[in-house]
Amino acid sequence: MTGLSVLIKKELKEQLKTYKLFIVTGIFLLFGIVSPLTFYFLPEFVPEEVVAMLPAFTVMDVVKEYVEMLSFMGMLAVILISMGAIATERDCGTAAMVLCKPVGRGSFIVAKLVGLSLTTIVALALAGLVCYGYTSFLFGEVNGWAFLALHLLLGLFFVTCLAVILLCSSLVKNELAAGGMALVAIIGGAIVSGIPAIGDYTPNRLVSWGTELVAGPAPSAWWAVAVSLGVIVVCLFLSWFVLQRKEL
Amino acid sequence: MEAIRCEGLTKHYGSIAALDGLNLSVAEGSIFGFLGPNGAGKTTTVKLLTGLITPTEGRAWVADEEIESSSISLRRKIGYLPEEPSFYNWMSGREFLSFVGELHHLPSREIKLRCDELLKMVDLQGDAERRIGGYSRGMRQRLGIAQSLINRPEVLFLDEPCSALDPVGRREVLSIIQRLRAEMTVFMSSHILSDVERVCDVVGIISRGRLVTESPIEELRERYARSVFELQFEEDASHLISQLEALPWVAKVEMVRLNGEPIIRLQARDVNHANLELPRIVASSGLTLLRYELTLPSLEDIFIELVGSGGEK
Repeated sequence: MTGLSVLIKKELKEQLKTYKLFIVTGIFLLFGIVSPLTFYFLPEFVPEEVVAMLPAFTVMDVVKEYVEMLSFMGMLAVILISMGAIATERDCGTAAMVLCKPVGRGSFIVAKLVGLSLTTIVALALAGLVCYGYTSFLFGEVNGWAFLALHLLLGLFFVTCLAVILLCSSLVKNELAAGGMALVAIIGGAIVSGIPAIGDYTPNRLVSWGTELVAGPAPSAWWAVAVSLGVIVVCLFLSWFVLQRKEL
Repeated sequence: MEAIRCEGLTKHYGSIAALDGLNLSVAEGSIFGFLGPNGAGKTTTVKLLTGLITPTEGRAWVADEEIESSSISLRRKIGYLPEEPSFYNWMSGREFLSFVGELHHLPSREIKLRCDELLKMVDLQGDAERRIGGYSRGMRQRLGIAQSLINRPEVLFLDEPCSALDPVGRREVLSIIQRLRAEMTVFMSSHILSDVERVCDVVGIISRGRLVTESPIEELRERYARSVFELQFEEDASHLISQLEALPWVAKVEMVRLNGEPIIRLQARDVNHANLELPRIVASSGLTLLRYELTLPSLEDIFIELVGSGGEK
């Protein structure tokens, strides 16, 4: 892993200087704020006869909406900031400029994953804090440890998706093509997770497990954790394998 | 000592041979000009020698290291400037140089000193803190040279370092390259003959993926010297061109301007014939001869002759 620390430092700087960190954090924060506020103020924006028909919203309604927004719109934001991570660098020539230095191609890929993962995790942590604060204040007590577990599982889910996006980004030189491939792969993963026999072993199970934990004791899904970690390792290896054979 | 050696280096893209059995040897400390028309295989050669692409066949050594795409020790010893250097536009010039220095594992104190030294050398001190995104093409090229020198490479690869520059930028870059003489081996690919002629000691000419010739420039000139004559007259001598063109021992006749003066440049197929007959033709033309010279051909003459004919000389 020659040059890994230098490349990670550069990736982190890039996340700050290109405002990617602020953009993703802003979007995630919006979801963290909007979800509890929407449920709290919804009765004030609809006619009284409709209010009477509405159920009393609970913490779980907020959490489900928040998680849905993060895993759909949040994921789109993450795809947008990361789809060109390798593809664009190969296309514009910066990858060649860096990789003709004493740097391993594996370090180049791992540094990308670390940089993008940290951006996503920081955004997720801040969104989680805000959502926890608003939900507790507006809807009553939220199990803090369960909320933390939800975010750890969400974090792992996002990192897994980032590894898939990086693999797609290493396969093609066009960032839009890479983004499209990644979107198809992630949607494909979501569809596969709906199959009863397989669903418990897919990374998407992390999200549902986390949500269930906030509601109360839930059956564990450690296999989904293991599979996600496996997907990350396999995607990193394949990205390295592909990049090793690509002409720069 | 050899700084670069290639043995049968070949690169195929499908059925197309971008490089076809290149055998080449570059002496340590020389500035080697790798000449060829566009698409001849120059960039492919540079990318092969820097380990950015892998050969289909053949082997090569640079600074005593065999070329392999994963060779970290090779990359510690070389510097590389691509044809169109790309940078992280959000970085400043100094930041990029420091980043490259860190990639080479230089101590932080040396990085700072080296950055100052190189920024001064490429005349970017005043713009060192500016974002690279705002740099002109010439400034990017100069920064590209600076980054390729940060590790004091044993062998420096420059791929068309002047092709995108205006005359002023080109002069600046060539003068930087000239200053590197004796400090390291420079392998410079170019299709601009005058640039190569100005800074290089040795040239290799490549055409359609094959090396046509490799020789010191002076030796090359001497080898092709006997066949080019230059004639200058006081009067207009353009009518003489068609007369000369008709002769069987003449390969090419053209009117060129040298320091603003019209000169007839004649390339002979048969020098003996030319030596015998040309003075007689001049005498019978009735024109006033100002200069009659058997000249050294320019690199361009040699290049056109070799690449144009496409054969080994």
